[in-house]
Amino acid sequence: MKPLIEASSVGKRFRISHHRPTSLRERFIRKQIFKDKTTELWALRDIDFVVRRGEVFGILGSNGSGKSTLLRLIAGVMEPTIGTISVDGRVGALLDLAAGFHPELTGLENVELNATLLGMNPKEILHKSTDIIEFSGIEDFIDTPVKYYSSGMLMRLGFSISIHLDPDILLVDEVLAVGDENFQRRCLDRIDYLRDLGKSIILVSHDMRQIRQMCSRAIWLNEGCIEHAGNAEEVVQAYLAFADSTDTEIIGPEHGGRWGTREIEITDVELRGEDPSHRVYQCGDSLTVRIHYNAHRAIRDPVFGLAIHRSDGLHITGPNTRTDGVSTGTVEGSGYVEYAVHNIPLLPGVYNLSVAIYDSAIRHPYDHQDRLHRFRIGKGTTLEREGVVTLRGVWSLNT
Amino acid sequence: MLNTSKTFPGRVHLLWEYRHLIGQLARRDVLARYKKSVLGFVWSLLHPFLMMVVLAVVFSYVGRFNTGIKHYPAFILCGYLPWLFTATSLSTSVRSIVDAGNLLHKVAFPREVLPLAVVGANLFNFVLALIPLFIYISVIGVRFSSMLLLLPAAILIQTLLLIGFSFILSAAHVTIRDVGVILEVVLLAWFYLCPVFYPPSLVLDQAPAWFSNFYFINPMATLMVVYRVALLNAATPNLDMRVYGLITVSITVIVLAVGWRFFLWRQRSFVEEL
Repeated sequence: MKPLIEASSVGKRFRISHHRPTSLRERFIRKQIFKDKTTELWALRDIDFVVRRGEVFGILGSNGSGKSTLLRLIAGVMEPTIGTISVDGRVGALLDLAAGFHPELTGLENVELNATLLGMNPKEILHKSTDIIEFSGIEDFIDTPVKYYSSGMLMRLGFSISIHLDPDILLVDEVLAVGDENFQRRCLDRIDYLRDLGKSIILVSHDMRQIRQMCSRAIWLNEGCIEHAGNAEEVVQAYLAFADSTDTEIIGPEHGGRWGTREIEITDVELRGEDPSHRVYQCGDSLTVRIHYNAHRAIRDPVFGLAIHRSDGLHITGPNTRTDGVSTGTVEGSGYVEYAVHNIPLLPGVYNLSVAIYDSAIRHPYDHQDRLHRFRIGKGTTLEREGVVTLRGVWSLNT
Repeated sequence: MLNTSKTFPGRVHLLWEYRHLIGQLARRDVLARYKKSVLGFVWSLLHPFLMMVVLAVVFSYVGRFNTGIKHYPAFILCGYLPWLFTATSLSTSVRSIVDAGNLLHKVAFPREVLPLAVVGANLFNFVLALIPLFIYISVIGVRFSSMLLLLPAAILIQTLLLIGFSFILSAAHVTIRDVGVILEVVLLAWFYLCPVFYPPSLVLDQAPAWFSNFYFINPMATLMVVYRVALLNAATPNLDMRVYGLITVSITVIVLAVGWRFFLWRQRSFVEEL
């Protein structure tokens, strides 16, 4: 059977123009009306891959590796500079269409317009508009001009339209950015549903967990080239090994922030593993978090605490000196506090670290640094991959 | 796959499949224009009618030019309404691609749809505006003749011509943003080169002979003469208008073909440039 998507030796070159606003006069002088002074940049090179029917295919890579460009080529929004990419079916993308909305028109009118834009015919739209509106959860405002919508409502309506297109291939680019948690859940359910119907899905993500869970095969893009292709697990392993060795940031910019009155201030946070030269810590190793502080006045019984979140926001642990029964006494001047773990149970991945100092009642923050620090856990000796931690349990077999 | 077809029949077929989108986009333009007004859609009819009233009053009582033209207000409208169709189509369509920038990044659809929808919406408004004109013309006692058959032909030619121009303008504006500004000046000059307020004879009688040849190379000038023949049974200038009709048709075909080619050539880089 003919594959759904077949890319052979695909390359995409961009011309980056140096001085964007060019006057007509200048263009005439250079005799290049439609050309800017440019440098060339190959966003993609020698890309070969095949996506079969009913397959969930992953594309992973760090920011700027060419993932989005590849998606656009598949969607037909851009054409490759060299090579061919043939797509045998209707491509749908899970996207935020709100940008194409007309503010003066009502929600329903915009649904009709944008559904047509995606290639639905009037009959199909008549069938689906009820589903679309219900999915978006804004039935009550559907006859209101969308300029009165909140940004969340706009986004939900935009996604609802694109997710109701009946595509042969669904392109999903970083789903987790969609609206509130409840709506995200519904989007993921819908993706599962389409997969169960035997549709192909292309999932672009830098979330390793998602790629592992959902994809059968994957490619890893690095600086525009396919670094590794194969089954998803293999590709993720190769990618993680690469990330471990180069200590590259896998995840984009972190959220978080810092607040507090700073009578006592956190001056530095140190992570100390078994190998002090390396910022990657292995599962099962010991790890010590050292919080350096400087108290500008004497503070009685401050509470030191920290929290670890997984990169997707899951709160894993949050110990502090009060709940652990450590009394800190009166603190003044500078010093440090240590939190030592002898056997980190965390599975490989990227984690965010928060540190904080509060008053004795944990009501008043002196210095709270929310997820401003990050560390990576390597796989060490464990082969476990499911979940968050390894409990180092022991199996025994009774026959 | 989309956007791969480069032949005209292939493109026409593709656009036919996207006819609903053109309709929806044109509908959006028409609806959005009167969305917040109390009378809403009625304005499409009322606007040309009120213009007619003003023109009739002005030219019947105030500034009585001795032009020797019968039904002068109707005469003006037969030139002015087609002119409005041209001017609004072009000045709106020139930005149609740039304004849709965000959408182009996300959804694949034949890009011609955007300028086509603009021309479509304006065509709709134009035809609607002809209704009060028809009523007015019957009221002042002009009898329609078989020349009325020229009206649909003229509308068709003008529409195709505008489509060709809008392809060129919208595609060029993506790369060279000066186009939009230049267009405004060109439209102003073009307006005075068209016989909207004056009969062509006024120019032709005073100008040297070679000028008249150039004068009707302007397809809008020829079209206005045709509109007046069709609607008002107006006398034609003392020239063989069939020749100029043929020239206008040829220009239309050339503009459309060249404009479309140009559009297809440029559209590859739309996404990168926006």
